[in-house]
Amino acid sequence: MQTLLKFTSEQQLRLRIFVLLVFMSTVAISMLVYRNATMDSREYRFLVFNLNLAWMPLILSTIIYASQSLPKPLNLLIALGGALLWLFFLPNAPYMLTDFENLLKNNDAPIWYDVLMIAWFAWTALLVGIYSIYQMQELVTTYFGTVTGWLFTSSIIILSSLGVYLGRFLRWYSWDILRRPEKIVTNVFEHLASPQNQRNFFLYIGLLSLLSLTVYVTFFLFGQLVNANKKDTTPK
Amino acid sequence: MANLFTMKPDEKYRLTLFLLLAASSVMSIAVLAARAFTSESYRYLFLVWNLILAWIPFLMAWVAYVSTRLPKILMLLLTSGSAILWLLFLPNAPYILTDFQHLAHPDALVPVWYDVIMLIWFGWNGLLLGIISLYFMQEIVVRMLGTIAGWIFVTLVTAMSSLGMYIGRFLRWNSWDVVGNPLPLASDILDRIIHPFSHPRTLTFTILFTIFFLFLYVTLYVFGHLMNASQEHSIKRSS
Repeated sequence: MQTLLKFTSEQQLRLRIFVLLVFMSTVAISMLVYRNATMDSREYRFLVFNLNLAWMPLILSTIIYASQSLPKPLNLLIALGGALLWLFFLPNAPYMLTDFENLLKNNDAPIWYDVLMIAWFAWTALLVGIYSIYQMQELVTTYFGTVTGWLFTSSIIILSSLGVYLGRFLRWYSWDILRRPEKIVTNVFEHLASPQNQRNFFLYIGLLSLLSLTVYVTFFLFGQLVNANKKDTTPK
Repeated sequence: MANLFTMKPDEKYRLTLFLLLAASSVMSIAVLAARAFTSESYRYLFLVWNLILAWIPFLMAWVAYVSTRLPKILMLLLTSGSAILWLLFLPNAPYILTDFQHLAHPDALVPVWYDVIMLIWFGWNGLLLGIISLYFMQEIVVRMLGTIAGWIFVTLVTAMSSLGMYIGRFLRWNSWDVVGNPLPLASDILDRIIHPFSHPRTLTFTILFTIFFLFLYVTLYVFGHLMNASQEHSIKRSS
């Protein structure tokens, strides 16, 4: 009975995060709709498409997480297939941070409004991605332990930064990995033939991975701090 | 003794967060230094100054938090003194986010993607310094006045801080003008509070930024509680 009670409080918190993220997405899209309606503009509509893509990894990781209560062979199958698909779509979440570079070409609305709007989209996508990685890390930790969990997260973040690079500079989409994987590979090798591109490739992936890992670990530690304080103040 | 022992984990996380934010700040400055060095340009060097300003509220909140354990009179003096300084400097933390607007004027020396990563790094540091310092202060308020007062405090402070950001970004006032130039600053602020609708830009900016910051804050907060719940759950499962 007690475990059941604890479980529902956890489910409740998960639901609350989900609702918060949906709400943040709604506000972000409303800001864009308001902007384009009042300014009679058609700019930035790709942000909505990108935000939809950013939600994909969270939807997939939630399905994987929920499927773990299914009977044995089924849950493993869903976990393995789902995890691969999840990995392909994960880069869409941090990708939205790079949409800041579009600030260059647009001036239909005051710049401060566009900064705030893109910040809103980017942060929502970032939180969606972090929460999704956390869900997967929880699963890996349950099956293989804490150290493997962190190894998993670090490698996922590096792979995801690679994905952002492929999307931003070579214009590939997640689903191209399923449709024409061989073309991506040849394209990457051609691209890396130039030493200039090589340098950018490693610099970009290195910097973005380090940044993402810092962001993730800070979130994790802040969570632990809130957690420690809660235990400290709960009446004994 | 038992009290000392239970204090330990949260002190540990506080210190680790401090070290992590410090390392992250050093990294972002290194990214900027590499930019300045390779392009031989002084552009964006103001970010270092803005980042230093963003650290002040974090340090003040820490002082306030630690001094709550001092004897009564000393505690009241130190806590309220650092709380006031914290409030005055808090807008500097999320302020760095508005520096993204410089991206609209790129220079040919450095590729845009590099500046985007650099600005995200600085902006992230500022935002998190603000969020964590607000959390320290919320804890103090919760301990003294209860949970509801704590959340009212968070909402009010966020709104004030967003207005402070506006005043800094558009009217070009600094935190220390409260002491150096109090009267013109006060008339600027009062005018906007008394006639909010004759300043639509102030109103829109403040409201949008308040909601933005509150949502980030609440999401991080709920995330912390979830970690708590799921850890207890997995401990139960494995035992």
